[in-house]
Amino acid sequence: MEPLTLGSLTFLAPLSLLGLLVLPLIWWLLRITPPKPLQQIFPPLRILQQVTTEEETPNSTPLWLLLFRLLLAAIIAIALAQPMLSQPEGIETRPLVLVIDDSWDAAPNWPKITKEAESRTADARRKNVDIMLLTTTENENTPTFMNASDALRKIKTLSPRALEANRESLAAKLQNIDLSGNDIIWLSSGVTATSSVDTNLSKVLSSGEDRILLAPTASTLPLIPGELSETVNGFRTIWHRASGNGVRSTDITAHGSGGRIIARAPINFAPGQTQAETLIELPTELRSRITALRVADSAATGSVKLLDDSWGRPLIGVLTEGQDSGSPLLSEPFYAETALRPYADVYRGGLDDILPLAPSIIIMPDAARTESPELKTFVERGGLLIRFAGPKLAKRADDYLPVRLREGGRALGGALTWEDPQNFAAFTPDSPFYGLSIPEDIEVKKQVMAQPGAETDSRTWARLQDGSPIVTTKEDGFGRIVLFHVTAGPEWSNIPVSGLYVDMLRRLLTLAKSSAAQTDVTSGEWAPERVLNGYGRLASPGLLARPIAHDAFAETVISESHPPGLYRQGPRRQALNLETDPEAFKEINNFSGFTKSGYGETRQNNLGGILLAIALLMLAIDALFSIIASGRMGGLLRRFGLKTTAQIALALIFCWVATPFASAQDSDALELHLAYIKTGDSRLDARSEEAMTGLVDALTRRTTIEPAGVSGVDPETDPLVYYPFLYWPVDRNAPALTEKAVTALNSYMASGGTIIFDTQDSGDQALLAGNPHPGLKRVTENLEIPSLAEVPEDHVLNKSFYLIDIYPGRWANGRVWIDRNRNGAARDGVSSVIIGSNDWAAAWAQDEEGTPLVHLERDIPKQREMALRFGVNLVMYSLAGNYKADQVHSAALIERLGQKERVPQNLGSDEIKGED
Amino acid sequence: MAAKPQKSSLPLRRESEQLAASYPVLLAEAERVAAIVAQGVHGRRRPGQGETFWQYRNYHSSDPANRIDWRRSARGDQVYVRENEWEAANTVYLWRDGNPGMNWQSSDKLPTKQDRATVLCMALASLLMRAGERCAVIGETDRPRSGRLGLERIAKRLFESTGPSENLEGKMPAHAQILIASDFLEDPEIWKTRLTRLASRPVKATLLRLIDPAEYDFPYKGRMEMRLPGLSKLPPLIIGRAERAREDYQTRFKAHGAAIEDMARRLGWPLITHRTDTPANTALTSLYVSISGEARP
Repeated sequence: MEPLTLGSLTFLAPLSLLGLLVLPLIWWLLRITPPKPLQQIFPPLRILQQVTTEEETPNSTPLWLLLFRLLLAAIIAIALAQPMLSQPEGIETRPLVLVIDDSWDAAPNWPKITKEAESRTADARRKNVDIMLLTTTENENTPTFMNASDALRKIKTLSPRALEANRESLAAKLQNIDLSGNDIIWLSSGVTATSSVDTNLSKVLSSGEDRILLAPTASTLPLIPGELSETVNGFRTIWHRASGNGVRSTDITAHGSGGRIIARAPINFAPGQTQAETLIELPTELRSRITALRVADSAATGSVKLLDDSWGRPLIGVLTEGQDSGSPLLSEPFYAETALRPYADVYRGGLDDILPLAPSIIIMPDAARTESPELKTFVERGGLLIRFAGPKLAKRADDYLPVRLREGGRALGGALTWEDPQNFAAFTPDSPFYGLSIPEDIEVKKQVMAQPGAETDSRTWARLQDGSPIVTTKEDGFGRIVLFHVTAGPEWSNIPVSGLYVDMLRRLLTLAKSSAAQTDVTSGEWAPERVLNGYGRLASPGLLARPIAHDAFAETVISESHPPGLYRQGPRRQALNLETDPEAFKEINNFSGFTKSGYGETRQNNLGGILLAIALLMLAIDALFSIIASGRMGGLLRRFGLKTTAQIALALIFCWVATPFASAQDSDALELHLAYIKTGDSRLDARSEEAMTGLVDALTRRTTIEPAGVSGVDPETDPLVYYPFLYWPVDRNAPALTEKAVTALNSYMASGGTIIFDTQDSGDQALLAGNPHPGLKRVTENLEIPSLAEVPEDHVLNKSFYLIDIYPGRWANGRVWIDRNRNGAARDGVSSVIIGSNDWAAAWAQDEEGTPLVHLERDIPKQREMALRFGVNLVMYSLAGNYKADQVHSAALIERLGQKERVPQNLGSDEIKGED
Repeated sequence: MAAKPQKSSLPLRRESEQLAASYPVLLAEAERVAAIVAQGVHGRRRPGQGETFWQYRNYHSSDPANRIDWRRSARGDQVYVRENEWEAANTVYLWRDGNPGMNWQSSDKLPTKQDRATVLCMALASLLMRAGERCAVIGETDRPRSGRLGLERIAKRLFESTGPSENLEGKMPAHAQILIASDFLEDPEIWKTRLTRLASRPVKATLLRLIDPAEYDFPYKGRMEMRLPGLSKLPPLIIGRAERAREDYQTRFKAHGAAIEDMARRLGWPLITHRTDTPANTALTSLYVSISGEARP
């Protein structure tokens, strides 16, 4: 259907205007049909009948109402014709070139971009012009014009990709296409990593007629991570933004494996600054678990920094002799290994086994001494070698030491020596151990001695109290050698069994981390394991992702086949981050010839919706008018009164506001309700309801507890916290609970509630022969049931109101179980469960007139009365908790206060019995 | 207004008791039996026609055999006859019209005519019974009753009674009083027939006519469709301009009222007209006066 244009109005569905033709028909119909009469019952109709002899004159619709209704009909007809208020510039129709940035940096603003693209395409479809859809990431599409509907379909399939925008290649593609005579709209991400290339593209596009560049506001542009460095108690991370305009505050979140947030720290960009840093304090154990850093409010590939093996737990190799001795406690590396295991992954073995793992630290005890050149290479390439002295080293020094050693060791505190065993001197500020406290009882009995000299002094990290070096170090190539002048085990000193040993080794760990050793021993390919999508979420690698050769990994250019993410090679994992140069990361400039505007500023020019809204409003008014026209307005007002009408309106508003908060259960919070669990078995539920009613009645008559009513609850849906206890008749067929119900019930018990399970089968105990109750087993499977015991004789339950010693229901002989621990602190001494089988509901149940409903077994005299007494005690116990327990002691307390005039009641057997 | 669903008689009972509470006990006027009736409970303290036990006496050969009280006689050698006290309490019969038109109110604030009639009847019964008189719902209760329990039964009957006009033909002893509560909206001729038939028996009746204010004022305006309540054969009546019909209707309604009054006067029975928007005690006062015979015309 061709649109119809009338002045500045365009009708998309002009045929609907034919609806206006029915207006005269409406006019005629309204003229002849009088308003509907008001129905009224009137007993003296016979008398009235004699009266009305005059002809019934139809009261026709008044003219003003007639016109109003015609207007209403006309508006509906016009609204259905979809009128558009065309913009003046939109009248000329030119083909549209739509450039969309679908690179990662568009991800934070992607919904806005697609919305804009869709509305522009829909506009083009209306104007019946073709669209050339261009995306700025690498792709094979050749730029062609297509139907607007096809373009719209294609836009819906677009999503941000984990790639950099390659606007240069787009510019190259467009080089040979004449874009003059087209409108150009560039839906940009707002940032650029390489400004010169973008100018190239804008030059290519500049031949278009009407050029618009859309860019998001500066505060929604993505951030990119910069340097990341570890500090003593956490790490520091620097982030960059594209535009220095205004303030930008957000959070940096550190995620562990599985996306769990481990730490969160705010980051604030000052006005004019494009760089900000934040400090996250984290203990080492947590720090090593971090796998990614993200920006809290902007999800984009480039805003994620993935961390790999070089971060976190270092890999430590411990050299061992060929064969380990059978007693691990005596082996030298045992102590170093045990000390480091919480902070690092420790592997042991020969040098040939360890080096392929590319450890960052190698620990070499004296017994496993080796002078292999590979070890030297390891250190020179940035490894950290920790050596320990020992008899071998004392006998013969080798070349691979930080300081020159004297021949032979030095023994202190032995039978033949003058000197006492020595402790460490305080660490000097230039030592990495500075600040560690030295225990009093450290004893160094033997050491290897360094040749004194200026060089030795500068290479010493720790000394004994007499000044002789005990830990020395030397940088070698990119790496470092650290020598402990004692053994790794406790033979020469007791350092390995002290806490100081652990602390010292931990300080050494941080030294190694900055120099993550690159191994060249393995050369397998790095296979993509998890890759980042455009929004910076980790996902399984797509079909196009290819492994990267080991040598090429460092120079990998991010592309479709090498997406950013985590790559794995055997046991090792390496991250490939989408790194953007912070220098080039800039906000898109206002290119010459482009009109810059923001997203979401396109004008709404479809009048159909607003007209329909007006028509509906008029329809409502019409109902009011027809009341007035039939002369009943006055009657209405008189009937309700203006005041009442206002009240009704107010009440309606309040109802509407309050509905989400008000529910039937909430009223239970205001007054005490006894509750039972709805099992779904209507017979059981009815019995429970009757039982609770009976109990309410007994409580009201006998005690000051006056429950307002009874509620049946479903643990899955109803709030439980309002009820002091839940009576739960458990059938043998009771199903297992859902997870939601389990959570609700566990939190109910934890917050002080009591659940009374009643298996109601005491009479069948002989038959069941001690088999577990299948229903109860299923129900309580996931509940946190404390360890139980039979109710002891002096339990509060036995004296909270009446003095009782049995708990009868329909039967009186069933055993009753209760929390073994009587001082459950969180619950005020009230057991979280009471389990019995006496069918208490049967004994409590009564009808509305208070007549008992169930015939009881006559196990004991006055069984129903006893059952009710137990019920009263139970409610008292669950409500008053240990207050009632304390009451038992009140006699003793009053006596202690010296007020002897009151003769205390004997409230049962408790400790005070002895004082009587 | 549609007929209300069945509800408890308790509110009406309470209302009637409150209403009756401010009145002294009511002794029905016993004019015609004045010679043989003492004050209060009109027991004659001698055997005769009555309902309550008076004495056992020895069987006399002139007594019919079926008067022998075998239960008493079996206890000894003598044969006894049971005699009841001769009672002459006056009996007031109540009749409350139950046609659908009675169960209607023009506004939620007003009681239905039927409720108001029931309340007045109950209040009257309460007053009478406290004085030891007997009451019955005509055509409904088996026999006239007295006392507290009797009152309960009467109230229940009154509440439940559908009040058909055939009940007016029910059995009634001579010299009984009868209260007829209705809206008298049917044709005066119909009522004339009914009441004349009643008047042929030696009874004294009091008529209570209940009017809803809307029936009198006709406050309707505009286009109205008037229907009879209940399932009526009479087709609904559509009035174009109800306000124009008002004056004519009121004239007719007054004429109808006058016809009823005329009929009552001719029968010599008092007619009490009561609008449901006025307090019930005005009507009760009139009834009290009428039944106690203080203001005989």
